Amino acid sequence: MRNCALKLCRQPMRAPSSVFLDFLAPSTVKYSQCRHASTTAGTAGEPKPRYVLSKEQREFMDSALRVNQAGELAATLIYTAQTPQIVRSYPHLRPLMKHMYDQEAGHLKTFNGLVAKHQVRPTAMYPAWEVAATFLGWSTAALGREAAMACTEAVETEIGSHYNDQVREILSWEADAERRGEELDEELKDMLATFRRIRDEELEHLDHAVANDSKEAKPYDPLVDVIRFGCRTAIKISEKI
Amino acid sequence: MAHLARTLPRRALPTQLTPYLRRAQALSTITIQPTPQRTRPTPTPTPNQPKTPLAQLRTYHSTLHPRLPDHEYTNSQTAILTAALDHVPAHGFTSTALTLGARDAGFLDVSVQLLPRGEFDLILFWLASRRGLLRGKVEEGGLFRRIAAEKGKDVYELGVEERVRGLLLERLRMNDEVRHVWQDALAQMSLLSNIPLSLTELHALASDILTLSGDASVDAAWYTRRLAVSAIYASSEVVMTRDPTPDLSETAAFVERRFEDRQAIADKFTGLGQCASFGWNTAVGLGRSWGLKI
Repeated sequence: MRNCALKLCRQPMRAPSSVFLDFLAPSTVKYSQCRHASTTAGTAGEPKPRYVLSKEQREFMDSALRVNQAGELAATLIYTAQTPQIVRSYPHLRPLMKHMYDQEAGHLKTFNGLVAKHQVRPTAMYPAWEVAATFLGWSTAALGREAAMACTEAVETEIGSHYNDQVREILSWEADAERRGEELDEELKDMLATFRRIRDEELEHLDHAVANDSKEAKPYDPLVDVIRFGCRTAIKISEKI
Repeated sequence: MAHLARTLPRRALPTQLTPYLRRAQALSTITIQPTPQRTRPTPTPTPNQPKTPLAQLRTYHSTLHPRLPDHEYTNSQTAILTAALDHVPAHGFTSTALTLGARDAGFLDVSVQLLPRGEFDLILFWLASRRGLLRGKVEEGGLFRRIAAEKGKDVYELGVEERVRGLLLERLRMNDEVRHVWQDALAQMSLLSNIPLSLTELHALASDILTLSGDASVDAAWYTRRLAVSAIYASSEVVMTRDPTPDLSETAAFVERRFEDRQAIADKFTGLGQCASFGWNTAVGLGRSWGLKI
């Protein structure tokens, strides 16, 4: 009798299961529809279907934006702290410092906007980074112009390669989308362009730093190594919390 | 346990279950946000382990991408919980309500064991579904207009602060029908093993309220504001359980006072910060004027 009851019960589950899943995972259903459609549709003129971000990709964007915001915050504070001391001894560097600061402030504004728009949690270490960055800028500037430029060189090297990694990751998504016959959404394309522009500007700061005798800093290797290690640690921490 | 879900009474599925599913669909913005998960759950749950609701903490959000599925209750769990909510005002957040809900949804009584946390699952589902309804109300657009009308303002004149206050009160009013049983629920939530999930849900609510109100803080204020809203909401819930007034006017007054306190504390901290930075800048400027290389 029990068997009979079970048999009765098992049968109907097949049919309604799609109804069930439909509401529980509406997005999944949408994804699969997108992907299926994309394999057949390939005609020119029609807009390509949008590449859907997976959970891991969203998490990547989440931590990427958080790190970038924290990084730009630190950069503006470093330049703010360095400028008075540098400019006092080397007034001809005033335009350069102002130019670099203005660019960093622009980057920070960009990332603040992106963090708010994509509802990304800012890093919990925000106050700590503020203090650390100000101290870093102030102490290297106190060591002299060369040390300050070496600090810029170390920081921009790390930041530049970090942006490069992010650009590479998004490009790999783009390639993936290409394979599927889809395309990245507008926001991601804009973000890719923004990351590239900002990376180039950071590397330009690196060139300025080298042109201004950063290599002449007295204990060059330890100084740069310590700052680079600090940067990498800060990036790792900001990715998580 | 999972085979129970598969061995449902035959007739129950298409007929009795559909209204609950439809209602669950209406709550599709539900978010239960417990512990983050390392691996994606496999589509077929292991036979002895009932699938527990798990979802990720808030991540990258974009208007161009659909929200990730917010909770991972299975279909049968959602159906039972949705049906059980009807019995909460009469029976409280108890296993009786769950059993009655399971019966309503056409399940066997024993299938309440699909919910590993029992009553706490019901409480979480209540919280999450009310949060989803709140979001739904805002996205329909009528809620802020009503709040503005109560204050005699245009909807565009509402500040973020006023919106937060309005949403928080609105969310409290949603608890009105269960307020006589809410103390039991609070007690359940404060059990040691339930605290992490309760706090996650509280944070999710605070976060939702702030995001919906248009708060765009991107620094340490992100944390302090969420903490403040969470604290105000949690304390107002306790006050609400003892509020004898039918329209919750005492609770509303309490909320007003807490927001004033919050403002006073915030002003004090801002003042202290300004004072400290003024002193620091003066000291540095003085040092520089003496020729110190700082």
